[in-house]
Amino acid sequence: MTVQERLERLKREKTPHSTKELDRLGWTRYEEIRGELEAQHHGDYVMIEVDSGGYFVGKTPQEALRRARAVQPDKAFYLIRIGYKAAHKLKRT
Amino acid sequence: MIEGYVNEVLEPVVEIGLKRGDVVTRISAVVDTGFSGCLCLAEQWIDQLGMTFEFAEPYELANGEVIVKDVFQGNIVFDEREQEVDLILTASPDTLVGASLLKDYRLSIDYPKCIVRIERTSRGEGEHKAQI
Repeated sequence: MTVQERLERLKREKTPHSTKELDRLGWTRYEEIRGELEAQHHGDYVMIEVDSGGYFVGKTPQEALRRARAVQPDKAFYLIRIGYKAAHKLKRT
Repeated sequence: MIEGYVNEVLEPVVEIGLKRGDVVTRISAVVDTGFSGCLCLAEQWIDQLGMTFEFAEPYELANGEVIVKDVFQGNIVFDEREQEVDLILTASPDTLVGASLLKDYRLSIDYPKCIVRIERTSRGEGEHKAQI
């Protein structure tokens, strides 16, 4: 089994969606809630569960994930930093 | 305290432990403060770390491009402490320790002596401002 096959197997334990689908569905849901989030939580982090539309805000990604897991422990999420196009930076490319 | 070294291409290098079950595998990792996440793990080590998939997220690269990365979680040993960290994977042979893993530490690099030190400070997580 290749590295990619092993990683895909791990992903399938949590979600039927591809990374691209999580990205598309995550941003689609974010557009619906961004007004409220950006007014009240700019700079915080939101974990979005793309199937139910549930979302969980935290001051850090870890806090948002803890809240998300407490409600939907078997799901995978999409992370957005509220008001920003990326949640993290990777300057070494 | 962690003590590492500066390698031949001037990268600060420290040792971390990858945990799978009760087995800890020690590997070298480059300290990269331009990486704001916790850990970017070279794919060659995935069999040495117990991992779960948790979420996907957009990452901004140095050229401004945004890519979406899968984020996994696993347990590592850093500064003799076991902790659960978020990690992304890379096809590069270099594993990176990012700024999120360093936020409670003081990083010093003595380039002339090729010594890297990472010392825990008393500053708490709640005092940190923006993460990127």
